[in-house]
Amino acid sequence: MLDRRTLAQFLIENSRRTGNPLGVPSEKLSEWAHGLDIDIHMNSRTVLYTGLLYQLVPYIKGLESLMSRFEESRVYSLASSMGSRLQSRIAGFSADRKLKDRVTKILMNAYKLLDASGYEPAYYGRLEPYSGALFYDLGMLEAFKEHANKVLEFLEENGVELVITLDPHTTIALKVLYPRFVGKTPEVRHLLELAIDDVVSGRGGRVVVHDPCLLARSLHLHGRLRRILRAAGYEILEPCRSRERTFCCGGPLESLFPKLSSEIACRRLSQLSKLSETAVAACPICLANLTRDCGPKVSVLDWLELVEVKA
Amino acid sequence: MSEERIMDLKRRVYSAAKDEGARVGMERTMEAFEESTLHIDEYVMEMARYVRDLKAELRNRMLDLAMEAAEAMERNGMDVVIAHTRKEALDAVIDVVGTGKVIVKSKSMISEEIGLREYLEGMGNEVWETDLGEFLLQLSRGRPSHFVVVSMHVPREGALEVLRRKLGYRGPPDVPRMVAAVRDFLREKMLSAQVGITGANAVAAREGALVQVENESNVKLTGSLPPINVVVTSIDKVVPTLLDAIKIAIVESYMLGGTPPTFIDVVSGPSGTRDIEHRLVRPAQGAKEVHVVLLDNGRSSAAGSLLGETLRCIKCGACQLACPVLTTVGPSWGSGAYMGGIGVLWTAITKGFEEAGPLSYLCAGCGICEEYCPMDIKISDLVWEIKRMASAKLEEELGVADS
Repeated sequence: MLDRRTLAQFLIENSRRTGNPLGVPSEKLSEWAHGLDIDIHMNSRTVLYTGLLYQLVPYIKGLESLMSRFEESRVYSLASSMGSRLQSRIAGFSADRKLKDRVTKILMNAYKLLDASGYEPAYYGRLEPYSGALFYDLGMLEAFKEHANKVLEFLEENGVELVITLDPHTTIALKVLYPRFVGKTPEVRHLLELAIDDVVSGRGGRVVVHDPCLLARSLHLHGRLRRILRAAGYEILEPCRSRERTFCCGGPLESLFPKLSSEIACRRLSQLSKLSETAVAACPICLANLTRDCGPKVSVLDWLELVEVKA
Repeated sequence: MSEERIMDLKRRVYSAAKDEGARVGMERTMEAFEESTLHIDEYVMEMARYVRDLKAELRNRMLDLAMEAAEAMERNGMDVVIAHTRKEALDAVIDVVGTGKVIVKSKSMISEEIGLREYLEGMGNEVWETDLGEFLLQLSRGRPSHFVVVSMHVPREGALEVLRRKLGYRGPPDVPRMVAAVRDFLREKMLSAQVGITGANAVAAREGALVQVENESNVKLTGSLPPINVVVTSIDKVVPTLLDAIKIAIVESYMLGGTPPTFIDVVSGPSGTRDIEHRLVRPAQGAKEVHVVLLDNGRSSAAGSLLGETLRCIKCGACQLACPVLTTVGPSWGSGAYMGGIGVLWTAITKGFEEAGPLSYLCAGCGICEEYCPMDIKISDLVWEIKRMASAKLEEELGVADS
């Protein structure tokens, strides 16, 4: 089993080396934008800040099977040798291909949706720093603050006045946690607040909504999520726990208690499967954690896989 | 904090998560809870807000109020001890109980906190839990998984098995028959017991009265059938008036079951009668002595701390039944008496940060507990603060600078 110290060491060393806690080379995390011609907006005071979270999902999944082998192992060592062993084993881990394609599509779609809604944000690609969200979840405030400082510097250097975010964890970090622990942030808006209903379309059908915890309880964007899904032609079904009372997918426990996180995900999948074979979420952590095969027949998609810009 | 302790916890929760029976029990309990609490009357919510504001205001004069309550209870003919520590509380109980007794006991988290049953047994007494859930846990040597629904991790199949094994139950596997068998068994114990130990949901300072809320009627019987009644409760439960205390009882009941309490018991003295020439004679039908232990155990010093608002908690357990983690791993996420996110906070108050630290890592920070808490305690945020403290030393060791 993996212990807290080894995990923390792994995440910190990766962050120092590559800027992100999984140690993924930064150019891989900006590949999604290669097909877009966005250099033209580089002078914009509005920035699309992904916080790298969606891009890390395929790597989290890639890491999962490797980590579960560590979890199964009955021996563990507190010595740092375990950390470096983990490091060297993990150095070669690869992204989940299918998820990587899905994430590329999600991010492209987000960009197009912004564009259609009248925003022309700059995107800084591999220069974009990580938000530090994972360190916050682990109570590692100092590591979180290091990341926060880098993000704030990045925003300041580029004269950013409006930050557009795509996921609830990154949004809360910038909107709530940075001001609380580090310093003032420019205005932060989640894509759902900016996207215009008139420009969207979709395949239609009945989907059950899995509200991401932070999106509903902290950002109160669950109503907005439903409106845009309806505008895109979907019929919304409510599971037994929804809106502010949504049931956590267990994702934030993934790093320290991966088996528990999968147990909770399976419980949620079973609740969702009672209503539909298609569920919709709006968070990369939910996407990563609810993409698993544990019995209940339901596939979880991100809202940006269902909502597209009208042709 | 040692990594060993986190690893121990991890082993415990992993093995708990594999317990299919426990999972089934908790899933069923949670579903029933969801249905019963969907529409709570606005007048109850208004009462909840009143209690919340009142308790917030009382936090800094908890000890004074406890003294006032103690004096009033003494005037009413009860013996009262304010115990500052777990040991003082156990000493106070054993002073009354002694050894070689048959004791019946209703459920109380304060008694779990101080390990009262185990202590009394160790001192040569026979102790029987009279709350059905707690009785099942006693028989199966389990720990509570919830403040109120203590045995939510024991499904009906598990209850049947333990009754067959430990009580020699030969009846059919239906719940009413099982309950009836326990009733028969415990009734005999209640009638023969020399001491009945109960708890309290709230204490009224002005009247010197204890308020208990229950559905089983076991608290009533446990407190009144044996000649001696010992009430073990804590100083954070003291409120100014009896009306305040009863409001707490009502709120607690609605928050968990969505219904008014079946029974609210008020105890403000030993049983007595003045029916003959208006002279007080004790006892009449109930206990002739009532002894009260008011436990502090870290509460008064927590009042002004980061964790202060935890003292508003009325232990209704709504947050616990809503928690996806607790309802997956049950009692393994706890320190004995206190489980789940709110349990991390109570553990920190009553056992210290060292004990609470490892437990804090099991909180996913999803915030559902705060949605359900009628006292508006920022449970998730406070658990994160404990996590932060636990992680601070690790960060220092790993060389993450304090900027």
